[in-house]
Amino acid sequence: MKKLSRREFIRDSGIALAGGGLALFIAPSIVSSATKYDWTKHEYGYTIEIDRCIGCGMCAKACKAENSVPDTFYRTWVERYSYLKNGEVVVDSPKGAMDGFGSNFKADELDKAFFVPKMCNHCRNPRCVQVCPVGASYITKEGVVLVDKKHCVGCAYCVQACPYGARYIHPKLSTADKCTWCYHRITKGMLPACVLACPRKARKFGDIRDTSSEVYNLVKIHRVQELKPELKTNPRVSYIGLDKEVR
Amino acid sequence: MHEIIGAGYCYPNELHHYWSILIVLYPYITGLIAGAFIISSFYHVFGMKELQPIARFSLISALGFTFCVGLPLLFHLGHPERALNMLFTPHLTSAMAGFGIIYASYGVLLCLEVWLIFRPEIVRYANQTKGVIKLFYSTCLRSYP
Amino acid sequence: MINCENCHGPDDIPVIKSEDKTGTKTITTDRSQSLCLRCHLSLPARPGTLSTFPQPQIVLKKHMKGKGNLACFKCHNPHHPDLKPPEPVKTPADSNVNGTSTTTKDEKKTVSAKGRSIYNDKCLVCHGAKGDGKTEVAENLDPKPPDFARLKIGLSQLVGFIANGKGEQMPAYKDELSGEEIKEAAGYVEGFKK
Repeated sequence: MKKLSRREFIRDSGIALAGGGLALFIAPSIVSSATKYDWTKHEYGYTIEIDRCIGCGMCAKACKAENSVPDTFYRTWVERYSYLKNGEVVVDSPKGAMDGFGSNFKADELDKAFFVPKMCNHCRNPRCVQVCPVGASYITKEGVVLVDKKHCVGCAYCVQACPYGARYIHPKLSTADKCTWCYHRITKGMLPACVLACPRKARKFGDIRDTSSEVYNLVKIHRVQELKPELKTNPRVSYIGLDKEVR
Repeated sequence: MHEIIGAGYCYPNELHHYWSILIVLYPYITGLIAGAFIISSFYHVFGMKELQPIARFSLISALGFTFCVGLPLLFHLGHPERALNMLFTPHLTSAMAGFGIIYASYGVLLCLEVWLIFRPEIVRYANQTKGVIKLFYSTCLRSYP
Repeated sequence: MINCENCHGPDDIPVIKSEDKTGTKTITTDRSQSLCLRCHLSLPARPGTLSTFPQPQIVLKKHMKGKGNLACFKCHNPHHPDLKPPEPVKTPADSNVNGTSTTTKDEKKTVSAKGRSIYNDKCLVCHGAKGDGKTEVAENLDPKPPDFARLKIGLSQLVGFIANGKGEQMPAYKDELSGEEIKEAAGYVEGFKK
């Protein structure tokens, strides 16, 4: 073996380190580019069919299980609207319908009644994003509104600003929290937990750029409404069969 | 608790309140600061002689309140250690970030006014005191005897 | 319409299991009723038969109707795609209707249409169209229903069992059916005897 001089040793080890470092740097991008999720290639939408909802509350329960939502806070919930014969409208949502509903009025006292699932509407023009003082609330390229938990200050301005009551301050993390459309699932091609849990297929989620998706076709076939259109938040959640009394 | 009978309906998340007494304290204190500043300006800027006895005192009390106006807001935050992000990297569409900048500049203006109006006192304290306090007043004057 | 996640929660997060703090595999009557009734309890707000998407709903007391307090899976298998009880099937006994006998051998065995309709309505689900007790529902029952072809008891005893129930599984029908109806049903059951 030829004896290495000090200079040669340093030169050789430098080359080896540089080569190894370069390989380590390039390798991950080669491996992951095949399966990398490109957020510019999707745009998500959500539809809720009021006629299908039976108020079982499995959506609220599944969301809580999937996302570890703390007690007495809700990322999604179901409201029951009961129209009494005297014209009054009574709205209730016992524990966000997490345990289902019990009877409140008898059938002969009611004109009509129905259930309305509610959640974050992931608006196209969201108030929560506008009012965040540090920019922790943001919209992804797919249209999902998320909260950056590393920068959120917990001032609750976004909670005040949301007209749909979709946000809350997480008691342990002390940051704002809300429905994320199960971002950790949809980026892997799965459905959000609430969509899967619904036994009546009242909730549908999909890519609205994909013309074969249920969401795209439902919006095309049905007359859709949104919650509080006068506020110009332009929500992405479309309701089919929404009643005028729904708040 | 979740069925408020006769009072209508509230979204389940909105049964939790976040902006309560601590947020109320903030505009109360800023109101005190602004009012005190106006009183002192009536004399120092507009020359109303009737308010001369109270003018300097109201100015220094405005300064005193300015030091603690941020405290209720800081206690209310979930992450007070990140609070200064609102000034360093503000999101400019937000009214809260905008007001952070406005009130910070108001605080700077107030400090400037106090520095100018109380110059005779600062010079006297810089000469008569010793140690750290002397250093503080000397720094205000930017002259170190 | 139904997929696993509806009852069991998303992926492998067991929504059912997470609530059963005992950790055992047995599901109690209360637990089964509370889970099934979450969707199937009759509430005025739920879409009725006139809606675009009707849904089967029950009022628990009416549904149980003298069968006592049973867990839902005693009669309905939640994992079977077809949750409805089987359709009634024509049996040899059905060929003798309205008391008329078409064969000389079965001259003494006359079957009334009323008896048959009561049997098909109330008894068929567990006892089967042929009275042999080989039904899907019976697989969950213990003890299992007997094979009526091998009946040894008489009409009056049958009437007694139908009216007052027998053992743990056969409920009492005296509150639901009149004495006449019970007799008709017992007469139909006797027709299965060989």
